[in-house]
Amino acid sequence: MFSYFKSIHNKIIFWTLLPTFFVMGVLSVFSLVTIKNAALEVVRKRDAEVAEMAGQRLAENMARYPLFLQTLADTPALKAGDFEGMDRAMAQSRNWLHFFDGGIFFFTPQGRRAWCYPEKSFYTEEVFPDVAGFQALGRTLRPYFSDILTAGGRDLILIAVPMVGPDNAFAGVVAGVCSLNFSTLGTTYTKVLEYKSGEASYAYLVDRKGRVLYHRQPSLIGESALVNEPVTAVIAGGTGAMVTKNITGEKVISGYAPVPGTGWGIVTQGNWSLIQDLIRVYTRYSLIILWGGGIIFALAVSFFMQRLLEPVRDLTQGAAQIANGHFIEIPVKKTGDEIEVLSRQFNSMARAMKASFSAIHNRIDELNQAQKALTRSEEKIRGIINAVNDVMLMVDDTGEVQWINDKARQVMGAQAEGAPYYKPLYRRPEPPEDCIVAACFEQGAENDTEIQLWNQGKYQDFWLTANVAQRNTAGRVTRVVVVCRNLTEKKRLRSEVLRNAQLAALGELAAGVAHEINNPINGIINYAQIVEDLQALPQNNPHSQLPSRIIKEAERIAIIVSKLLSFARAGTEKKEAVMISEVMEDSLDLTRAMLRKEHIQVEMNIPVDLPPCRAVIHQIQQIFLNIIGNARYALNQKYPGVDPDKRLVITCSVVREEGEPAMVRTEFKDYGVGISKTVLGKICNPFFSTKPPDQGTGLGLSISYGIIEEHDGELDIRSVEGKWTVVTIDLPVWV
Amino acid sequence: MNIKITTQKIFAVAAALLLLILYLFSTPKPADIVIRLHDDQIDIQRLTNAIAALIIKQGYGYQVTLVESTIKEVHSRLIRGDIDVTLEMWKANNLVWFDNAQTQGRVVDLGTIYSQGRQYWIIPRWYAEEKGIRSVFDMKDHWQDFVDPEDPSKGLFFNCIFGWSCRDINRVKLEAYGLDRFFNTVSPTSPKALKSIYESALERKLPVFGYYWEPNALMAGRDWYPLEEPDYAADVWKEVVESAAEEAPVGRACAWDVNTVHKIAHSRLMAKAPDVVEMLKNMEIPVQLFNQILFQRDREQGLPRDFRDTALYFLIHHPDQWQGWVTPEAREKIMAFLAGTGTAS
Repeated sequence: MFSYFKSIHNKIIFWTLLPTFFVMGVLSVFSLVTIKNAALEVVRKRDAEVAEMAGQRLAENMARYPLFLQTLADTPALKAGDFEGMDRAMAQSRNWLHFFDGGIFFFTPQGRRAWCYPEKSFYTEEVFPDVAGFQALGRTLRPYFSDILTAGGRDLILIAVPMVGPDNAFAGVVAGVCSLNFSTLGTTYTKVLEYKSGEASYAYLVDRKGRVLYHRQPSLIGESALVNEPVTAVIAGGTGAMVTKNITGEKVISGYAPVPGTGWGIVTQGNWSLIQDLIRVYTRYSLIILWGGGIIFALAVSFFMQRLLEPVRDLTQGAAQIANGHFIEIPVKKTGDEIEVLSRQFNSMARAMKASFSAIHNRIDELNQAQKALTRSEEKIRGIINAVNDVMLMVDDTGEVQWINDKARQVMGAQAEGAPYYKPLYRRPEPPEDCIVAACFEQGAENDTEIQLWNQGKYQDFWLTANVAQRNTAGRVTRVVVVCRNLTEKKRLRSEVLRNAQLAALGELAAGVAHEINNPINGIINYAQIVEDLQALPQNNPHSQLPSRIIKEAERIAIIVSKLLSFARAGTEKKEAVMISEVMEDSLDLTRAMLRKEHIQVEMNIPVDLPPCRAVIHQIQQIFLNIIGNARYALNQKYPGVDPDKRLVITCSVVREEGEPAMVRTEFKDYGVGISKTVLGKICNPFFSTKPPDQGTGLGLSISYGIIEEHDGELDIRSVEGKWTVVTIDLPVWV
Repeated sequence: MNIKITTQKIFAVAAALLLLILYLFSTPKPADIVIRLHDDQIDIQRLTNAIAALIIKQGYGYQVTLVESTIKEVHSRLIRGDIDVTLEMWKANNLVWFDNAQTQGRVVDLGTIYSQGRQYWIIPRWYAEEKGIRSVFDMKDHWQDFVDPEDPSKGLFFNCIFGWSCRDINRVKLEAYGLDRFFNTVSPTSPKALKSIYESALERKLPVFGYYWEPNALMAGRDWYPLEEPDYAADVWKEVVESAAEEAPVGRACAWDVNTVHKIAHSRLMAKAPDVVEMLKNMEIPVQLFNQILFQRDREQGLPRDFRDTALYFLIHHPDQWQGWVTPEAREKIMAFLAGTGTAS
């Protein structure tokens, strides 16, 4: 509803039409009242005039009756008292008896009946029945119409005229008697008072006392009509009209006027509802015209208002378009008024805004691009910083950590951000005296030192560097970036390198020793061969076997040394077809003495048709030796002495893929202490060892794992703690 | 304006609407319904009205009122429903109106109330015999005997009652017979007046020429001579009636047919009082009975002055006539009423 009034067009129309319709409404009411009153007044005047005219017409028509009577009164025979002559004269005018149905009478100046025609009549009165009327006749010498009288059981009237003597003296009265209900006199009334039967408008006649002389409804004739206002008014001699109810209770418009010369009154009555209907019809017409005009006016106002406000609407729509970012120009209508000027100024404004907006838009684009670049750069830097494995913190000059990277969040916790830097760094309530961060703020120079940070449930060594990140305009340090690098791995690698170097030196030493031993061994064998050849003893001599035993043991030493050399010697790293059975045999040869000494039974299940695999033989041997060593350790841990279950089972098999040999699988199963689940996932990590530090380096399985991976093989370890451990090695078949 | 609508208000409005609907659609009791009968002051109609009023009031419990109107007024009042039924409709005289009204569905014909209704022009039999007059065409030679006292150049023709349709028909026929040049017409204001004129003329042996009808008391004797006219012909009669309605001249005319008088009701009466409609449909009285109880008896006994008494006489002495019109329940009530009046012989 209220949105309607947001339009200036609607507002103007509303405030134009509201008073218009108000005025039309007032005019409607006024016209209704005026039309009704005017119509009533017109009808009143009309009916009054109609009643007056009807009265005059009736009087004119009624005049013929006293005229006829006057003719009789002027008859010489009557004046002479020749009543027989009067009878003869009346025989020629008998038809008048249709009107004077009660007869025609002559009354003497004393009022006594002297003659009547016809002789027989229902009217039998001997004296003039209306004394006042008789006196009036004598006084005025003018015709007289009586009020309703009753005689012979009938209501009647007398029409009388005076007889004038020779000296103009009153000489008697000639009267005709008309019965109200039966005389043809009623026809005269009808002719005058009713123009058309069946019409709603008609008139009735009353005497001086208000009794009905004539009425369309015969039953009302003779009845008193005094209850009706018009009757009261007309018997008082008035002329006029009024809206009232008639004898039968219907609402009528009644005109009334006296009938001249009779003393009677005439009352016309028209059906008020018919007049009301007419008033309604004309009122309706006037309202239709009024409201039709009003509506046409409203439409015209609306039409012209729309045309007038069309540029304003264009302006509004243009403004709305501009508000939506469309800098359009509106059509300029050449109205020559302020609206045209406004339209032109609007277009100028739109053009200026378009240019301005375009510049702003370009600037925003540039800024957006710069922001995107900045964001990308920030993301890149953040990614780099977060990818760094060092703990990084930015500390402001209040000592509060402004920012930390993911690593710092991981090591120090998210709460480190916003906290004083010495809490996550030193885990102390205040910085130590030799705090290099504080020094960096004070001195403005980079500082570093080694500290211990709590990480992964223990203190670890970190290398802490404090760098100046930002200075204020005065050159004072306002931001310091602290970088903490974990030294644990570095230190471990350092010790490993050291150990490797030691091992390499040991290998070289062992190779040297083996080389040096090799020559004397050869000598011993040669010499023992010579001894055997030269001092051949009989077979039953208990010493006859000694040289051969020397040779055998020496050869055995030679083999050991040879294998030691082979192990120590750097391999060619070239992969070749290797028979696992042979590598296994060599490995067991190297460890057989210790296995026997430790009472470890070795069971071998190696098929004879095992295909060769593709490997570096000495590396595979190194792995086997490592695994056998681990098995020995586990078995000895579980069975320090002799036990039937103290055994190592070595099984080889072929793994096929799509029916073709793909891998050679070697399984080492010892029934030693086994490996706990928690440890099982870590045992291939470098330097992880369950052995005491002096018995293991923690590198064996790690190196083995690396070697197998390099051979495109797989190393798998399964174990049940306290029961067994199975190490499976798959090596690709030599193709 | 901020109007707060509450449940109580809604219920109050709903209750008021319900009462209004109940009031509007409630069937009024017969005692509250008024049946309006047309009264044209014709003796025979006054009797039939009195009989019908007694039966409707006492047998069916409705109120009855008489609406005095001329037949011309009835034309409009019956169509408007101001009058429910007229028991005296001479259809032949009102043919044009009736056809229109019936076509519009405003009125329904409830059938004949009596037959053998006749209309004609009359002169005293003594005069007819003395002058040897037989037909209407003879009257132009005798107008001087009927001279109009107000216009001695013409004779006087007593026309039908003012407001009756036959008044216009008589004018048309006078013109058609060429009598309008010899006779003025005068219309009495009531049947009583016309009857009195004829009675008075007979008594005074005055030549008189005019319209009359039967059944009525005047025509029960043989004092009057109905003038001969061309025989009734439906097509001619239709022309006469239409000319009378349009006030147009017509070249020919004919005698009235022997009429049946009908009961014409406003169509709404069917819904207003269907039981009354059924009774009125059955209501038919032989014209001989009218002559017997209304005219001959009245002539002999100087009655009636009160048509209600005559109606009571009819109900008491001619139960075979009316008991077939009414329902058994109505019959019981009417019989009980008649027993209570003490007039039953």
